Amino acid sequence: MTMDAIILFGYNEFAREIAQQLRYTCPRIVVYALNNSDVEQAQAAGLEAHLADLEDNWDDLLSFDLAVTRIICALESEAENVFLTLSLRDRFPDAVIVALATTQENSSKLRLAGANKVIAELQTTANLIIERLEKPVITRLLEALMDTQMELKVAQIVLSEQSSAVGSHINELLESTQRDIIVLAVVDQRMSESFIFTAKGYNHLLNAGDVLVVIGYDKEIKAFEEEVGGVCETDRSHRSG
Amino acid sequence: MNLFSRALVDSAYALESSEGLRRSRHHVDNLMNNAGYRYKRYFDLFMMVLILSSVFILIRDVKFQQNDFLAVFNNYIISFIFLIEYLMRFWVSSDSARIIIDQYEKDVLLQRNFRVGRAVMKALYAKWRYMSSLAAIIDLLAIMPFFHELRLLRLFIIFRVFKLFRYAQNMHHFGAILASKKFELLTLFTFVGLIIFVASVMIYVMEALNPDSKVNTLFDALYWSVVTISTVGYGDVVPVSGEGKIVALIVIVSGVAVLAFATSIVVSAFTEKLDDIRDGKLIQELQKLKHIYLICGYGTVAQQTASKLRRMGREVVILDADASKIAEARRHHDLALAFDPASLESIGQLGIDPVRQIRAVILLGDTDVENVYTALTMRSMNKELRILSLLHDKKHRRKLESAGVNDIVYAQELIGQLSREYSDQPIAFEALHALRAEHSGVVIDEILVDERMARFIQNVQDLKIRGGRIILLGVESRSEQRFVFNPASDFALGEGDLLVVIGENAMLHEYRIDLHKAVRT
Repeated sequence: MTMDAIILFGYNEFAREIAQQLRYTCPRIVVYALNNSDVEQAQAAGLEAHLADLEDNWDDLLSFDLAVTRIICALESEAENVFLTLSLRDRFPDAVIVALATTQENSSKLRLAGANKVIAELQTTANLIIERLEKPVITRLLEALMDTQMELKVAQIVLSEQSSAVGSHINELLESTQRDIIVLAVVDQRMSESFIFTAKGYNHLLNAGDVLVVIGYDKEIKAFEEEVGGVCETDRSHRSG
Repeated sequence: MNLFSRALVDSAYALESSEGLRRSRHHVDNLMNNAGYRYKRYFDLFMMVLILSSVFILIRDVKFQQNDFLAVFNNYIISFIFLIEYLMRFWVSSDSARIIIDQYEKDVLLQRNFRVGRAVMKALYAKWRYMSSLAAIIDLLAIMPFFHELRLLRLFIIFRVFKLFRYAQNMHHFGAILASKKFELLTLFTFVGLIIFVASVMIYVMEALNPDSKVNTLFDALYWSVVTISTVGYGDVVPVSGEGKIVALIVIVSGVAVLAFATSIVVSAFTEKLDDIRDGKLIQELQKLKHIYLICGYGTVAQQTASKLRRMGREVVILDADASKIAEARRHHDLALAFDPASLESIGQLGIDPVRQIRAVILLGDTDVENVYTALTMRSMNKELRILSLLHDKKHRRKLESAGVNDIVYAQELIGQLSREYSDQPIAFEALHALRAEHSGVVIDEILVDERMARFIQNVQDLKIRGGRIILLGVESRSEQRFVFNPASDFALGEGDLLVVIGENAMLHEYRIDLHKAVRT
């Protein structure tokens, strides 16, 4: 699902790269930086940028529809990032906050502060290095799957109340569909907020609101979506951490 | 040139050009002298067992009737093996043919007659230098019982114990440490010798004429001095006169000073050399490893990467020119060395075989300049090496590629991608990353269709994967050079194809075994 806006805190190298990656998929990126030179740099790069202060009460953010907005905390200082996350969570309990961390210790603090998703820089980089060396084909494949420009992709389908799949088991659903797709996992939001991989929970009973994670070609995914009566939409606050 | 000179030079050239001889010599030299040679440790172990057996037989022989087999084993078999070893060491100690050829070519270049006498003398001198070395003398003495049946000469067997110095690296280190403090030790021994001499003479002068004293000869005086200065003090010989007791007091105090001095010399030498010893041991260990991930440059990313690789059971070696970073690295990893990965000479000292030993090089230096420089060093070492580098500034990407880096990881871009992926489809993102993280129990893995498998498995149906709890996500087809998603049952598989599968860890493990069993039957 495409976001209406991304609110990006900080304008360092990581933030620049995030803005770069998101500017083609998100119509509005707003940068809040803590100093004037970062604001100027962001504006020079064609972004909407404002000066912010950690002591702000963030009234500015009330103008955004936070249901379709992502907040990304990417401040240079780890302590400031934690402080910011805490303030934002306090003010906007339902907002989806993504925060960047360098160390594992800091990741835990950000989670405690209320971030929905923490991306640990060091750990992620180390993992990618190892994946590229140990499983290069899989790494390439997973990267390609997440690339929205590619034909083969991963998608999430929410089962609606009217969905024909509701009330049946995953294996029945898989047997009945002739589509060239792979159902990777199901997220049952009523039971728990964790994944049930089809390779593990083959007999899981599907309910309305469950999210199917499927892999396939664009056309096939759309046809499958119509077949099961689901919508390619997601509840963004499905899980934290 | 006379007939003898001509024959000598011709023989030297013949020996030098013999491929077989050169190879044998190389192997023998490695076996005797190259600590990094993979068979040397077995040879050393074998020799140590022989030495210890020999000493055991000698000790047993003191009180028990000598067993015939043990006598033959000790006097002939072991001695014969030692003789062979001595001759091999003698052979590789210097290259006589090369010495003669060098002299001949030098004389030809200077347009003068070949000085055969000088060449032979040089060759003999090189051999003599080896024969007169302490190690070679010990080797020779250890062979002695082979030539003599006299009981006294059997004591030479004890010289075999000294041969252990050759085979135990730690003893080498001990010798090297003492050698590094030669001056201090010489000063100490001179000082001790002087004190013993003065003390012996003084106690002799004071006590020799006293009828109650046990110091009657100069030897008694020397014995007392040595026992006293070493602070052993048996008490069998004691001064009885007042003057003698004063001498004793001086010798006792000197003894304590000597011991303190000796201890400080040895301890400081060990402290200074401790890092070198540890590095030496690590290099030896390193030379035995295969499929190493060589991490060049140590920092936080390197620490994370190395830890994870080690948890996966991979061999990791960390190199960094900065000794303080290596000291930090050693708190987490054993194989970390303060070597400059960008220096060919430095890498050469490690004695790594890039083709046989290195699985991939990971460049994690602090700057792109450092990584480019190291990449070029690695590439010049071997063209086939797999090199992955961290990129610090994206404007340097081209430079890293030009330096021969196969794979570049730019952390900022990666974080950007992840943020985008999470923003677009958080659930799908989490699902894929749960597969990568492997903590959910369900993993994504690769199975290679090898040559044997390809003979029995023609298509996807033969994999018997359908209906099970394993998902075949796709096949990286070597013939089609593309990834085929969710292939149909009749999709043809060939050698070198890579199956990408998803399943529970244990289930996948079992599936691999089943697949190979099926191939066997």
